[in-house]
Amino acid sequence: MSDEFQELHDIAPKLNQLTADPDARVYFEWMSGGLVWSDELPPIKERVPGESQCLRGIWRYRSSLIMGNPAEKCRPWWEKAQELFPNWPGFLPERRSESWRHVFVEKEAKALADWEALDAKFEQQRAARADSPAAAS
Amino acid sequence: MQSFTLFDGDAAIQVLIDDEGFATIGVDNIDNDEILVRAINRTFRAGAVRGTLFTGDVIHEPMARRHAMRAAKGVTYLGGKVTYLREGRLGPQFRIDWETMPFITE
Repeated sequence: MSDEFQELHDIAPKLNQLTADPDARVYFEWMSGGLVWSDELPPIKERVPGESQCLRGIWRYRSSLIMGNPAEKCRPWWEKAQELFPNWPGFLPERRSESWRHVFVEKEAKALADWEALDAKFEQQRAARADSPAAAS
Repeated sequence: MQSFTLFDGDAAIQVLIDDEGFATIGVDNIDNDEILVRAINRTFRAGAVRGTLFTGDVIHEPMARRHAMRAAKGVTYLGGKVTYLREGRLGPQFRIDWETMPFITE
């Protein structure tokens, strides 16, 4: 089987058997722009590198629902995922509630600020090394 | 050839370093700057001298705009050249190329 959603097919069995953790941590995933709960991926020892990239569109779509502005380009991924792994904790209705809006806004702003700040920090270090040949050698 | 995947909570970054010291870095997901720093520094310590990071689809529009701006204006990120690759299925894809693998003081 090979189709547009092949990666979702591949990861579906693992995601469908996950159970919701009432103490799950919520974070902001930088590349998707979505809120993610820490019980939405398999344990580290069961993960295959690269397999979770296919969840970016799903996380993005859910967060767009939270913000009341659905990202329609991601909707097919969300719908296919619901078909393939309906028991995934990420589909809990409370995780798409408008009550998460302030969390999203806060975490998105921090992510963007941190991304820029890291580069600024790196450039400062590079400038300092250039000014201090001994440190650079 | 060596490879490793760095996990930090749910975030994950994969690194493959070939015998000539070229690193290929793939981002699965990322939730803070620390994993990026750790991945780059571990890559450096593992002996990589050059490398490329592939973002995959950047669906988060503000993040995609930041990458696109740097690509268009030639502004580096962590010393690496940012290049727009193509439009992915859900967002633009970028690469960051380092002629000299950086190290970031933690």
